[in-house]
Amino acid sequence: MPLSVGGALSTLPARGRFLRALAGLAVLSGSVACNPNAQPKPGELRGILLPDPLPKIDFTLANTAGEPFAFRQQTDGYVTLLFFGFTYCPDICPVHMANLAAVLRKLPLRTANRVKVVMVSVDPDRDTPERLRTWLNAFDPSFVGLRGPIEQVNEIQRALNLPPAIKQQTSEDDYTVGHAAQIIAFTGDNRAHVVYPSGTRQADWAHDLPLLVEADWPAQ
Amino acid sequence: MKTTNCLTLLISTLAALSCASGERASAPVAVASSGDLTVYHAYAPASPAPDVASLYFTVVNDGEAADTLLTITSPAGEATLHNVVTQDGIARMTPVEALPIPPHGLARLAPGGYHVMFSNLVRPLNLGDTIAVELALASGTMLRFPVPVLSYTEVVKRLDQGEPSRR
Repeated sequence: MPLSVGGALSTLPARGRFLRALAGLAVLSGSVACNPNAQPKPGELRGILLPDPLPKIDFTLANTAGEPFAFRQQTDGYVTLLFFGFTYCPDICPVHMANLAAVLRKLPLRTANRVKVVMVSVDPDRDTPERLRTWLNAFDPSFVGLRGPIEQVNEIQRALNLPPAIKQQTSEDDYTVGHAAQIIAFTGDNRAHVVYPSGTRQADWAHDLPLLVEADWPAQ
Repeated sequence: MKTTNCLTLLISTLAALSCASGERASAPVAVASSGDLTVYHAYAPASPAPDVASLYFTVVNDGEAADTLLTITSPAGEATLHNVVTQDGIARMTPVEALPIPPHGLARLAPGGYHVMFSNLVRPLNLGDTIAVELALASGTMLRFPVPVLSYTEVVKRLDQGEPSRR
C-alpha cells in the first residue's frame, strides 16, 4: 500500500517530492517495524468509536495552490484527519487546528510524518485559496486546505454521514456557517473507525495518534 | 524491591514537581475588580485570519446579588458575545444578548462555549499585543481591563492544563 504514495508524486514540486519520498520511506519502515496485531481494543482510544466504520471516500477538490487534490489517493497510507471548517470561524476551528499542530510538533517524527491533516472549507465564497493558506500556516504549513463548490462539499459530507453545512445570516452583510465540528480519523486500512469532537484535548490526541498510526485494522 | 521503592519515589517526586509547575502556570490572575465582581483569565488568541478573532475571560461574582453581562466594548473591533450550540450534529454560533452571573457564581468564556467574537478587526491581533476591553453589566458596574494576545499554542496548552473552574 505505501507504494501507491509514489503514484501521487508526479505533480509535486521537487522539494515536496523529496519530502514525500522521505515520508513514504517512514511509512514503509513503520509498517515493517510495527506490531502486525496492533488493532486498538474497544475502550483503548479516547475518540468516539463509530459503530460502522466509514469508507475513505474518493473525491477531488482544489488545494490552496489551485491544484487538484485526489483525497483518497494523496492521503493513502497516512492517518488522515479530515475536518470541515472555515477561516471566519472564531472558536472551534482554530482550537482544533492549534491542538493538532501542537501535538504533531511534540510527537516523534516517525509518528508525526504518518499523519496528514486536511481541512475542507465549508465557506468557499470567502475562503479564497490565499486566505485558507495563510490561516492554515498560522498553525502548520503542512496542513492541507481544500476548497470547491459548496454543493460538492456538502455531498462529501453527506457521504461521510455528516450533516451538510448551513449558512446563517448574522446581519444584512454578514453570515456565519454552522458545520459538523468533529474530526474524522482515517487509518491505514482506508476507513475511519473513530471521530474526535470539538473539545478533544492535546492529551487525547497525543494518546490516540500513535495508536492510530500503528493500528492494523484488516484492509477492505 | 529497593528498585521499586526508588522508582515510586522518583515518580511521585516528578508528579509533585509537574503539579507544582502546572499550578504556577494556571495561577489565577485577577485583571479587574469592582464591588463583588472580579475578572480572571482574560486572553485573546493571536488571530490566524486578519479580520476575525476571539476573546475569553471569566467573571466571578462574590456577592449576594445576581448580575448580568450586557455588552463588551473594545477599540480592537466590533465585539459580540456568542455561544457555540450543537444541534443535530451541527455546531453553530448563536448570539447571546445577556450572560447571567449568578450570586457566588461565575460566567466563564472559554473555547468551545461562550466567547466574544471580534469582527471587523481594526488590525490583526498579533502575539504580544495588549488590547483594552470594557464590560458593561446590568447593575451599572463597568469593568475595564487589558487583555494579552497569546499564541494559539499557549491557549491550547492552558486548555490541556485545565483552567481552574472557579479562579
